Amino acid sequence: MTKPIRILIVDDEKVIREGCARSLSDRDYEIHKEENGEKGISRLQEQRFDIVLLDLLMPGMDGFSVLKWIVAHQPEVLVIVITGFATVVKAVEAMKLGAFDFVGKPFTPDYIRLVVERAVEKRTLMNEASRLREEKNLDLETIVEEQSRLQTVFSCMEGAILVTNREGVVVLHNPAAIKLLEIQTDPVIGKPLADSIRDQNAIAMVKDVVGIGSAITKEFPPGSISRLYLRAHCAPVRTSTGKTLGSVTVFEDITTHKRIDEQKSEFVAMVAHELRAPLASIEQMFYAIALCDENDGDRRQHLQNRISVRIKDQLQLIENLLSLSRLESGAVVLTLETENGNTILADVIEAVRPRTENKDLKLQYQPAPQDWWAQVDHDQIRVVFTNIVDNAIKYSPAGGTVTVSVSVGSSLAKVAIADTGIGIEAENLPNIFEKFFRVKGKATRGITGSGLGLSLVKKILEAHKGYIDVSSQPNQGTTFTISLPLIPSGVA
Amino acid sequence: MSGKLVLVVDDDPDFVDAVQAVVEKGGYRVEVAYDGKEAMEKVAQAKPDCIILDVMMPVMNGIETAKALKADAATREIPIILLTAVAERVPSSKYSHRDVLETEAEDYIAKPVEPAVLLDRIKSWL
Repeated sequence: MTKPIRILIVDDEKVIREGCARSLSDRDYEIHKEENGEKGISRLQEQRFDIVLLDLLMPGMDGFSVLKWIVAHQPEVLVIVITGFATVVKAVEAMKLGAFDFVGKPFTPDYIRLVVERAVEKRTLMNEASRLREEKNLDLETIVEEQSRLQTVFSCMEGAILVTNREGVVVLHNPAAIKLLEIQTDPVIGKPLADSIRDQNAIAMVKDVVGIGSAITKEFPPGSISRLYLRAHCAPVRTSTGKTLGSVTVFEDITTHKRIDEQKSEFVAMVAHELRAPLASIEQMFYAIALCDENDGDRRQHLQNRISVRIKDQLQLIENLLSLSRLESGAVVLTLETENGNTILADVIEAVRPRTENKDLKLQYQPAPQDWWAQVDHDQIRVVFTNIVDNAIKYSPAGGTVTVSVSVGSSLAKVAIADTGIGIEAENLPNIFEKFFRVKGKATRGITGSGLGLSLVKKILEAHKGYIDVSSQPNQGTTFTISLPLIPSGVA
Repeated sequence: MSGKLVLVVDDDPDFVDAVQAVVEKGGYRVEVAYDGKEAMEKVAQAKPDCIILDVMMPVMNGIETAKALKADAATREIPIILLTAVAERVPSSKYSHRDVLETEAEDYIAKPVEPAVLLDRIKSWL
């Protein structure tokens, strides 16, 4: 309350106005004066006052009319009426109408000061009370807002939250709890936890936490609480004095994490097998070579060749594994440059051609009649073409033909690698791009490889915004078609 | 030359070649097969005296093959030596120790197998 108390004196007698003002002048009040009712009201309409000293008997608009106006329009203003000595009745009437106090004329300066001081005190208290009321309302608003904010957060949380009292009765939960824990009890609140969750371990967990007063983290596999794999963190709810009031449990859906974990373990196991199994064969071949004598020259030579092939396969497997892992983790940043597709293909064909020579295979290349350009990573795209052409050679029996042809469309270049090889059974086609998938049977006997080549090809092409298709007829041949986005030739 | 016939079954032709070389050095005749189904056919045709059978194979694995052979009175008496990869205990390992035992195969060895050990085992069952 730093604002000074404002007092308005309305009296038609100048002596009274001045007298009152003088009596109050040593106080810290702000005093204004008006000489009749009309002027008083218009002053009140313009400015805020705390206290009005009002003469009841005035020409024109009298004090009662002013008082009624004040009570009706500015009820917070305290009115002290000034009356003639003989007119106590009028003063009483004014009090009934809502005046705060009255002063009889004539009055001493002390008396007027006393009455005004009482009004000031009242005014101050009223102001303070209204300030406190406002503050309290503001606090309540904050609290209500805070609560609804928490409620919103609580409702939006992905994890399930379940609060129980010491007896294990549910007192609070969020919507996610119903969903994650697959609760069918309705309502959940107010009933024992055991009504909503059937799993004995979960009930025991909550009981233990309340009992021993320390937190527990536990995993619940699918089929225990719900169909999801859940991780629960259950903690005691304590008062400031350390008394345990109940428990709060947060359940988290870790189904996906678990699945990824499993896939990782499976992948590691698969890699371990793929790394180890060929080593067993290599060692077995060394044992066999050790037993060879001078009559076993051919056998020795054959085994030595095979050992060499198998070791190269293993190196390739490790190489592919690393490339794949780098591509998948995003560690490889492709160095994209605009390259002439015809040139890259011609290079790859020439690099692979020696592999056809001891196999009586024809390797044909039909380049596109016009040059075509694509944004590619030179080394990576060579891996793609080399792998596919190499596969075509590997899976084609002697006397066959491998044909690489290119058709250039408006937005895509399609490179078709067609062989006259053993083909792929329809049932195996969907799997050939999977890691370590290899078609095994009589026809593929002796054909070795990493089982990662096609996975790698697919990954690299995806990184180039391209794709690969396959069509195959068993015993007739397979065609892989690689599609790459074209760069308009003018740009190059 | 005892002239006894040993059937070597594994899906890796290099492994089969290597084992064949060892077994032939031991004085046995050798027939080969590259999966369980082929092995069943070879058993019916060639009536081997002993079978060396890999566990992990496509089409028909070694466990199924051994069980089928032991379930058939005509082939029950042929001793089977199962070949298992070393430390086949990784999480995805398809076959447990128990699977191997349940086949009623006479013996099992981890591969790769030293020639002396392999020949010794074959000899013990013939």
